[in-house]
Parts: sequence; structure tokens; C-alpha cells
Amino acid sequence: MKKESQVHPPTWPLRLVRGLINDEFLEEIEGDLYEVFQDNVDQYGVSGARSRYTLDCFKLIRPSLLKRNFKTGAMGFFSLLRNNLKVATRVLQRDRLFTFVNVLGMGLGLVISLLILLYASYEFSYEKYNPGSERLVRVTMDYLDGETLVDQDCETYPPLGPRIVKDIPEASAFVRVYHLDDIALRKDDKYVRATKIFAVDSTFQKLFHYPFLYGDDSKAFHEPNQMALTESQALKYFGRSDAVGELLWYSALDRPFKVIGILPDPPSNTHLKFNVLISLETLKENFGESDENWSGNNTFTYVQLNSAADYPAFISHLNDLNDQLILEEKIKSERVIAQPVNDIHLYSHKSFEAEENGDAKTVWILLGVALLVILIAIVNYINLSTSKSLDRAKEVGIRKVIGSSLGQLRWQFFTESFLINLIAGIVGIFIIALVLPYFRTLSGLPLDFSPWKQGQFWTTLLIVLGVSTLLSGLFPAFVLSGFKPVSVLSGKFSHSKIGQHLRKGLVVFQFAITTFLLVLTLTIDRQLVFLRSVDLGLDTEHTLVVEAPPTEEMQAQYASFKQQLQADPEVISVGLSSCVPGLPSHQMGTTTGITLDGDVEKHNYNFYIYSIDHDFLSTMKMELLAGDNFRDQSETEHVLVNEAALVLWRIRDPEAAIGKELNMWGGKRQIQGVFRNFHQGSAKSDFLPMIFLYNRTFSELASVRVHPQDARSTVEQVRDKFESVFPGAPFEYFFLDQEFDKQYRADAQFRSVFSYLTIFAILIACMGLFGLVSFSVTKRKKEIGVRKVLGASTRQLISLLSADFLGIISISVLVAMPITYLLVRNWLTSFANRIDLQVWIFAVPAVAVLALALLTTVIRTSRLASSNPVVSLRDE
Amino acid sequence: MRRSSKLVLQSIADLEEAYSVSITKDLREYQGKTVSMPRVLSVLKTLEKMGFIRSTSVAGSAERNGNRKRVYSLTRWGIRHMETDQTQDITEERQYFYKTSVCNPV
Repeated sequence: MKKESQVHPPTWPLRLVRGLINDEFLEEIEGDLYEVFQDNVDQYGVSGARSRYTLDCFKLIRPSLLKRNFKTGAMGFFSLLRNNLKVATRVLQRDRLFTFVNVLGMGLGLVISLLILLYASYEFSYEKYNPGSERLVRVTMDYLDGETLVDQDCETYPPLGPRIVKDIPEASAFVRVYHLDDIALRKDDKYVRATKIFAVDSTFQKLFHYPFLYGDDSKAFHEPNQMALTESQALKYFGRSDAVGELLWYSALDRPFKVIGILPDPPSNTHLKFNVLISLETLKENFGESDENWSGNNTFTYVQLNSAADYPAFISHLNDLNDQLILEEKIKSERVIAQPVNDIHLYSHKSFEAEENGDAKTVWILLGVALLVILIAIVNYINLSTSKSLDRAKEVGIRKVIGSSLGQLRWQFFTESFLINLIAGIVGIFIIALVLPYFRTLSGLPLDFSPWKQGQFWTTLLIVLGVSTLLSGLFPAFVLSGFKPVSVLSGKFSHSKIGQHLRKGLVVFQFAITTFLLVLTLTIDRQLVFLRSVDLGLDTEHTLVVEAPPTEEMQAQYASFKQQLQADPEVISVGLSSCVPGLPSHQMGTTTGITLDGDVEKHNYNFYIYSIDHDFLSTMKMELLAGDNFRDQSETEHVLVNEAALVLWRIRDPEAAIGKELNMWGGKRQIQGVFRNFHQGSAKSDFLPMIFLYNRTFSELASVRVHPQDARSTVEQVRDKFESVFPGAPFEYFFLDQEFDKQYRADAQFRSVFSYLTIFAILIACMGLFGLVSFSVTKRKKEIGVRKVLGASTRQLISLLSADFLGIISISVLVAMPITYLLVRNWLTSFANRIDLQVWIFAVPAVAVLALALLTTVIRTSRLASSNPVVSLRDE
Repeated sequence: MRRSSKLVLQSIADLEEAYSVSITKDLREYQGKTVSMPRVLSVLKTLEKMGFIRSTSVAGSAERNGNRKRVYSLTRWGIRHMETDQTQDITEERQYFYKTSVCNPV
């Protein structure tokens, strides 16, 4: 036993014990601890004994062993706290309705504000994974026509990056990222379509902070034909993470790429998500890309600054560089501008973004609404507890007479609001656990998103709880504790005027918010329904889109594929094209500076290019306004253009455009036809100026319009034909209408999140009103009894009791309208196609709010109004 | 509280030298109750205040790092309390208490 005597217990817990434990017992307790420790060393080993020792030290902190000054006399801190809690529990138990309304209202308010805060913090967390993101900027291009901004493009010319680092002292490094369309990769004989492929400079890993999991960082992306995969892609292709040294064939080039490294999967909160990276040198070698190409703007350019504080200086130097480039005639009406990478996800909505970005406005609107909802819940609490003040007045009076101090009384009321909030918080956590899966899909958060392990979530919970405890307890604590004991106890006390006005004011506030939310919800819903009903200029129904086989030998057989499809009686028509409506805009080509032959004025509009075959227009049911469609074997010098393009060339009449010549790509093209505008994406954005070129090979997409029938059988029929013509090629397809619907997903999400928020806000407000009405009618029990005895009918009584509240609600509706009108109008301005704000959009919610309030009050008052007056008058 | 105080009283009656550590061990080994030492300490303080037990301070040994220890023994009132059947009326206990110990027994 003595052999362990050199082992000593940890000292810091002992210091804690010495600081807190009553000196009278201290020495004996220390001895006890030491003895137990030595016993435990034999039994559990040194570390086990140490942790038990620490635990025991903490367990010693209990009232009966504490120092005297921690428990001051009979009403010490602990016993006061216990008494407060006991009284609070009794108050809450006595009035079940009050407690229920408060806990549920507060709980729902907490759930909503926490969920929205989670969503917002996720949206604000973009790029935070990268420690260097603060000083990373992206340079983009603005296209100007004189002074007006025509287009904003994320993509820039390849020589720009090196030039910026050379000319601007604040820039220390650059990386160019070239967004390749989906490509087919081949491993042995298997084709796989790879998405999110980028060609990058060797600085990519350093600037975006993706060190290799496997492979040598220093050799990455310096040479052509190098490839790096993310870990999950490596698992997909090779079945293991460490795939360095393996070969993958790039089918379009028919050349093997060596896997030089494995990168970690990019986090879900970055704007630049990739699966495969290849070296930018590859493009120079195989696609004729060069460092002196000032005409093709296809690369994202990111620049690292020396420090984040250099940003303003960088901007001014960038302006100088713009002037210099114009002098050198490298650029004409373009301007190079910069934006911090951290701002991209929420604030950047340019053409050719790497992914559909979020919207700061949406996040702020939701945050604002969440705040309003929790305010409504807090107002509920304040209203209910002050309306109960008469019940509590006697208690306060007695307490004061006995000798309670103001501070102690305030503590008492704060304990009550704390208890309510605590219970609400626990209820809220359970509700969050229940609704989290739905919330993830509703708000578009990643599937592995979970708040439980985030310290941030718990601190937010504590802060929200603390703030709502403070806010909801503040008013009762200061008003109720201020009663004068003499007036209360002598029976002269009645409701204070201030309290009544405050309650009315708060109800007006609550229902003004409710009205506002209802109007906004209705507007959002109508606007989205309207967007969906806008004539797109084409027919997306019953159309299957098939992606082209990967290699060029296979593409040569397109004719037989098309013929086989057209032979099928179910198929109406087949059109080939480089892109289809509904796909993201980076799938289209763009070209600037296409002018009418003979126009003196030079401009830099961005035109969007499709190449199509002669059946595409009829397959999509697009309308030709003037001129002719392409014919089979058409001339490649002929083009079709849309109305939006004509506007840019200042041609009024489509007929007048036919036969005009265009300066394009150093040659001349003749306008053969003009087609009606169609929406490439969602109808919320404007029409794009478009040019259709003729190309009859199946290089990208084939759209197959079929008679209405079972979708699965359509896919099977097309798949059979595809596989018989292109053996070994992957069959990839999508339905046009489904693809188009993706455009509306973000808006639909916003709508559903918003409608849920509104429903909860209404629910909470109505619960509060219900509680308030029930308290005010119980106060008037006797009055009602007397009125009944004197001959008032039930209906008269109900209208008497409800009229008061209906007046308040009407005021809140009136107050809400002007603000609501302004905000709603502001929201609508971001849509190119929008609904007119008609009166009914405001009238319906107003009536609905009034009806709901009426219903709430009538439910509560009718019971009392129809009760027997004897019951209420008897007890005297 | 009531149950554990009964057990602690039982331990004090059984043990030759009853102090916090030995009581904790006794509870664990003979009464099948795993109770932490701090809790036993707290129960002891309460029992002493109620007058069921009394204590003396004894000089410490090396295995206690030289610290003193407090040894507890039952008072007459404590023995009486233990002998009283739990089902018996509390009033009887109270009357006995008033009869035997008018002032604080410690």
C-alpha cells in the first residue's frame, strides 16, 4: 500500500476546495480526499484516481459544506433562489392556460429564430474554410454601352491575371480557373460523365487552401495533362482514396491524364465546388488557349492581395490598369472590376457564375422576420403577465409589507420569466430535433448539416434565451414591483392606465406585423404563380433531352440515331442543339461585339449563341416571326436571331432584318430569320439577345418531343435506340420541364420558408390575443352577469366584449398598410416580369386578420356570455 | 435523503471507527450502495445538526497526509431514532425527543 506514496493528487482541484469549503471542516475533508485517492490508485491506476479525485472535489461544492459567506444567514443566496423558484413554479402551475400559451408561444418563437439564425450563419459562412479568403479577390468584367451597364460577366481574358500581378503592387499572386463543361472520362472501357471540371493554374491549391491528401503539392498543375481528383471522385473511379499515378482518359482528346494528387472534397459552403481539376497548361497545348488571348473571356481570375487592407489601393490601381489597357487597345468598352471572394455567394449575380449564388436580401428578410416572430412571442408574455397584475398586486403588497426589497421582488419576476423561457427552450430543442430534416430540405441546407455539435448553436441558444428572458421579464419586473402596498391592500387599486395603453399598443404592434407578413406571403405566392404562368416562348412538356456520346467517331453516326428515333410513331420530332432552355447560362457560348454591317457605332453587347439543326425550332415549338428556318444542309453563313438582339441593333421590324449582314468572328453572316423571344432561364430575368447558328452534328444535346405517354416507357424506347447506335456510350438524359423547374427552386424554397414563418407568427399572435381576451373577460364576469340579469342577449354581450379588441386590430391593420405597401413594392422590383399590386392583395389579408381576431375573441367570449349569471354573481 | 441517512446511521452503528471514508466503504461493500464521499459528508453534517450523531476530531496518520479526521458516534437520540420503526407515527418520535433532550444534544 505504501509503495504508491510518491503519487500525488492534482493540486488545482484542492485549491478550489480550499477556496470554497468551510474552514471548520477543511482539514478533515482534505485528509478524506487524500485517503480515498490513495485507495483509488491501487484500484483504478494513477489517471483513474486523479480523475475521480477531481470529480469528488467538484462534488464537494454543496450548500452544507460551503464557507459561511456563501450562505448568508437564514435568507442566503441559495435559499432565496430556491424560494423564488418554488414561488415561480407555483404561479405557473396555478394558471395552466397562461403557462401553456406562454411556453408554446415562446417555444415556437425560439424554434423559428434559431432555425433562421442557423440558416443565416450557414449562408454567411461561405469561404470561411479558407484562412486566406479575406485577401482573395475575383476580377470580373463589366460591359458598357457609353455610360450604361449592359452586362456583368464573371469570366475574363486569360492574360489579365499575370498582367495584374505584374502591374499592381498590392497583388501578390493570381490563379485562373477555366470552367469546362461536363466532359466524358474513360477508365479502361468504361465512360463516365464528369461534372464540375476546372482547369487551373499551379497556384490554385495555395490560394484556395486545398493541400493534397495524397501527392506532391509542389509539382501540381505545372505541366499539361495533369489531373487531380477529389477524394470522393477517386473512390468513385478507383475504389480507393490514394489513386495517385493512375490514368484516366479524356475522351474528347483521346489522351490519358495522370492523376497527380487527391484533394479533399470542397466544403458545401464555397462558391467554387469542383470534382476534377486539370492543369491549365492542357488547354494551351490542346485547345489553342494562349497567354496573349485578349478576345476569349472564359476564365475566372482570382488575385491574392498582400493583405485585406490593400483592397482600396488595389481598386484604384485596377482603374489605372483599365485606362492603360484601353490605350493598348487590349480592351474596348469593357471594364475590369474586382469583388472580394467572401462577397461572391451572397452579393454576386453576374453571368457565368460557377454556381447559382444565394441572395443577401433573402437572408436579411428572413432574419428580419425571425426577429419579428420572436418579438411577437415576447409581447405575448409581457401582455399576459401585466394583464394578470391585479392578481399579483396583493402578493406584491404583502411581500412589501413583510419587508421584501424592490430588488428581491424584481428577482422574483425575472425568475418567473426565466423559468418560462427555460421550459420554452427545452420544448424548442425538441421541436428543432423533430423538424430539422424538413427544415434542411426546405431551406436547401446540406444533408449532413447538424447544429448539435456546433458550439455556435448552443451559444446562440443561450444568448437568445438570455435576451428574451431579459426583455420579457423587464416590464413585469419594473411595473409590477412598483405597486404601492397601501393602495393595493386597502382595495383602492385598479388597473393602471399606462398598463392598458401599453397592452393595446403591443397588440397593435403584433397584429401589424401579422398583417404585413400575410400581405408579403400572398404577394410572394402570387408573383411565383405568375412567373410560372408567363409564356416562356416555347413548350417544355413531353420533351426528353439526351446528351451526346463522348467521342467524335460516335457522333458521326448521329444521322442513323435521328432516323431511328423519327421512325418511331411515338416520337413527334428530334432537334439537335448545343444547349437547351433551362440549362445554366454557362452552357451557352457568348460573343461580344457583333455589329450590323454598315453600322458606324461599335458596341460590346454580349450575345448568346446556340448552334442548332433545322428541326430544333419545331421541336421546341419556338415561333419564327419573319424569314425562314434553316433547311437540311443549310449554309453555315446564315444565322437566326431573336427580337432582343434586334433591339440592340436598333431594328424595329423583324421583316426589315431579313437579309441584313452581321460582322461576326471576322466574317460576315446573313440574318435568315427572326424568332420570338423565349426565356432561357426563369421568367424573373429578362430576355437574352440570342443568335442561332447552324450545326447538324450531334455534338451536345438531342431533344426528343414525344406524344404524351408514360415517361418511363419513353426513356426506355430512347435508351434502346441510343445504345444500339452508340454501344458503350453512357446514356444520360433529363426531361426539359423538370430541368426548367430547377430555375424556380430557390424562389419556391423562399416561398415555403416564408409561409411557414407567417403561419407560426399568426399562431403565436392569436394565442396571445386569446390569452389576453380571456383575462379581460374574467375581470368583467360580474358586469356580464348584471347585464344578463337586466336582459342583455348573448349576441349583444359577445359584440360588446369583442368590439374593444376588434377596434384595436383594425388600427393595427391600418398602421401596417403603408409600410407593407412600400416594402412589397420594393421586393417586386427585382423581377423583370412582375404582378401589379392590386387592392385585393392588401384587402384579403386585412379581412383575414380581422376574421381571425374576431374568431379568437368570439370563441373565448361566447362561453362566458352564455353562462348562467347566477354563477358569476353568487359568490360575494 | 431519508433513506441514505438511515443507511449512514446503520454504518456508524456497525463500524468501530466511523468516519467519512470508512462509512463510504461500508455502504459500498456491506450495504450495496454506491454513494460518493462528498454526499456522505453532507449527510453526516445534516445528521449531526439534527442531533442523531456526535463527532470528535482525531489526530491524523500518514495515509491521510497528516490531516486530522472526524470520527462519528451515535447519540442516545440517534440510537432511539434507529430503533424506531419507520411505520411508527412521527408524533411519538417527536414526543420522545422533547422528553429526552430539551436542549441541543451536542
